[in-house]
Amino acid sequence: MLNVLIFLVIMSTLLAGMAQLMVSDYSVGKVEANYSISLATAEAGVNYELRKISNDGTLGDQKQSAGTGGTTYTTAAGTCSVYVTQHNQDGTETTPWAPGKSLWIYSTGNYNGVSRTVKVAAAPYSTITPSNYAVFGVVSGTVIGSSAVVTGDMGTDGYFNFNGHPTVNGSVVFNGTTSNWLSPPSGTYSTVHNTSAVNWPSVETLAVAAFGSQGLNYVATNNDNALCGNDIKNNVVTTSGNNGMTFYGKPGGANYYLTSLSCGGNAPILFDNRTGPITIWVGPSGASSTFQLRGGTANVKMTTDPTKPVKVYIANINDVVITGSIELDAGIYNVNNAGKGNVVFSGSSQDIFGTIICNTFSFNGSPNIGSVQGYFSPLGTVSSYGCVPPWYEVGGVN
Amino acid sequence: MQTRFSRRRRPGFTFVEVMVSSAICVLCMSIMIQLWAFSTFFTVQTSDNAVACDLARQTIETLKETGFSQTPEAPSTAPLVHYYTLNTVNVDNTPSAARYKVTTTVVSDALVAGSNPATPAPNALRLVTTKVTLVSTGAVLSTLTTYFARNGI
Repeated sequence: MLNVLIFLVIMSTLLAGMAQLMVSDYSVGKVEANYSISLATAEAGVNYELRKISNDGTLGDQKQSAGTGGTTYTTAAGTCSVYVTQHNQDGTETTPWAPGKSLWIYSTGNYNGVSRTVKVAAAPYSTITPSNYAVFGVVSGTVIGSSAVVTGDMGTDGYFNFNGHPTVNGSVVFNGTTSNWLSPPSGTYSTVHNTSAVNWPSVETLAVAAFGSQGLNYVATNNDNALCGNDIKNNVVTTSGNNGMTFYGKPGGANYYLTSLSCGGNAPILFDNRTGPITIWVGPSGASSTFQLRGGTANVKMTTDPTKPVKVYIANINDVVITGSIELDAGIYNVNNAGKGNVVFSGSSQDIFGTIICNTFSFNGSPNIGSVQGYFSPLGTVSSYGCVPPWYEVGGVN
Repeated sequence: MQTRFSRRRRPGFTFVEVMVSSAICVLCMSIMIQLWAFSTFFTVQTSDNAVACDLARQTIETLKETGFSQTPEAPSTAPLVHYYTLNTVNVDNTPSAARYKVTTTVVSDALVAGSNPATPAPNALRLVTTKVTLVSTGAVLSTLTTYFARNGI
């Protein structure tokens, strides 16, 4: 009898333990569900904020000056507290967030006593109609003679002055209400008048976007000039005779910084971009140094591989001279805050496979410019904000 | 004096003792069976909740993958419905074999005017609600809700 009772007590104890284990397991399952719902609620808060600032950027829920709390919203499942901070190009995080800039969105989801916080990077998206500009003069464009051939569009926010009848296998595009011909051209062109001017950022602005707040000053001391050995001395390139030089690309992109480039004689410039894109920055902003380029043949043309472009950004205010009977496989960008970036084509039989964006341009030869898309984009009107990497769970395991 | 029929005590249980011990045994067995049933119930419940939670989360992630504008509008009158087995195998073709029913509604606060089928406006906020129920009883196991926004996560 006693043995049976002991057996029953042991069995009951074991079963009671198992039951307790089941209840614990059940409780854990419920808590896990709460965690899942909290995360979904936190992400709902992020999307709610994205929609809110996409409708009106000034309505962003800024981080409170005291504490980290944001604005609390009630969703169908739980509540979420959301705030935003500015995500600067140099990686710093500041407050308040300025509309139009990249941002961090913090959102804490709360459900049944469980809180989870996510930190998500977001960026503005612009609506820009892809352009087919072969050449764009922000202030003006002048074409002397009738030898120039442009395949693609010619655009300006100012005026065009055609002292001849160049061939334009595309449209002549005037942007802005005051943009037009300086005087009616002698030929007939397909013209387009857009009400809004195209907003091209300055070279310095692009450098800040690429390298952080120091912009060109940063790339002046952090560059890949060494890849060219002694061909670049003190940030200056000077060629003469038949002794040209080669710029080399590298995976991820090579950035060169020059203060002057002068190609004398028949010295060619080559771009060996087989391993990666090449970007040449010419500064400092507003300098009056020389930039005279005699061609530049790339190993890989943009039309063949758009991931390895050759781009030249020039912040000087002196003329940028493209000289010689050459081929140039590059995009030239010469827009500065002074409005004096002037690109001059002075050679004959020049074949340009790229895009020329500048403050003013002047054709005084017979360039043959073939538009290649994808080199440069203007600033657009921010139409919405969207998530970009990275995504963190604050205090969680990622 | 000893008689021929004198009673001799032998070891054993009395009838009363047997009855009492049997009653205790029955009581203990009853408790054990109840504990077993209780444990089984909670095990099944826990399993169902876990699977339901995963199915709800999976549905939300699938809709995110589909995308903001490509995810069809699904009001409560015409929700998206999917069926799954205990092993989360989709059995939309044979709902009778399903253990779980996943019902999802997607409701936008702004639609493209005149769109057919209904298309969310670019600035719409889309409320997504996923409810997982047990097919056999109709019991709601999990409800997950979030918002979708253009270019959102």
